[in-house]
Amino acid sequence: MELLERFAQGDPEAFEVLFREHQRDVHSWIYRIVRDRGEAEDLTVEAFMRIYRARARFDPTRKFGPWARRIATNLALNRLRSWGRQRSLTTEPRAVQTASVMERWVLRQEIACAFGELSPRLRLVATLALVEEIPYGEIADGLGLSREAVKSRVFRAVRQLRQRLRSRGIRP
Amino acid sequence: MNRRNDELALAALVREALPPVGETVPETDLWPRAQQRLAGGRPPVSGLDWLLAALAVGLLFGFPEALLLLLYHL
Repeated sequence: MELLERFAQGDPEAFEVLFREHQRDVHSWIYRIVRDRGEAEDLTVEAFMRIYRARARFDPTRKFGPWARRIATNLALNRLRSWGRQRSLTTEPRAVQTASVMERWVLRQEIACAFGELSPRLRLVATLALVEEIPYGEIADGLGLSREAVKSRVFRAVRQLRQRLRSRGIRP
Repeated sequence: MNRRNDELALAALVREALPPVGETVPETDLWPRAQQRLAGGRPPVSGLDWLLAALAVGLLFGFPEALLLLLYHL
């Protein structure tokens, strides 16, 4: 019997094989969304627990990777929602800097804050598309959306980001 | 075309503020953690823990008024 069929029927060995084959990809996908290594590791384990519990709903004729990514995406999105807009996305400036470097750092802070104010759904798509430069098709697979829906969300994220930056006196 | 150019210009700014993390790997193999979760998720309770629990229960039978003190310290 094929690996995916054995997994769908609840074979723990098949699950272990799939875990080992896909943990890197799922972790990397989650890390790109939440940008926190510890959280990404916790969420990766949690995602695989959900994957295992949902095994009976998995269609073994389909690919495992995109299905796993969709489950991981939902978890990561919930984590973004629970964080709200409080969590800082930027790093502290290093030691004493020159005025121009500080100005640049302040600008980056403003952009990161404006980015953090996007809704979690838009932030998720914008992070994957604009920051990580993942192709729209791959994002669509990972989110269970059409390519057009991804493009539309990126467009909305860009428009909102631009408005937020203008309100902060930044004209990108 | 303009829409795409706008997007690219803004994306460059955003990437400067939030550098991409790219492909990453977990620092450790996550399978043992998953295995522990599958097995029930809780580490085994030690003998000392059982002994302390038995002492607490015994104390409550002997001195019921100690319940308030116990709850305070929880």
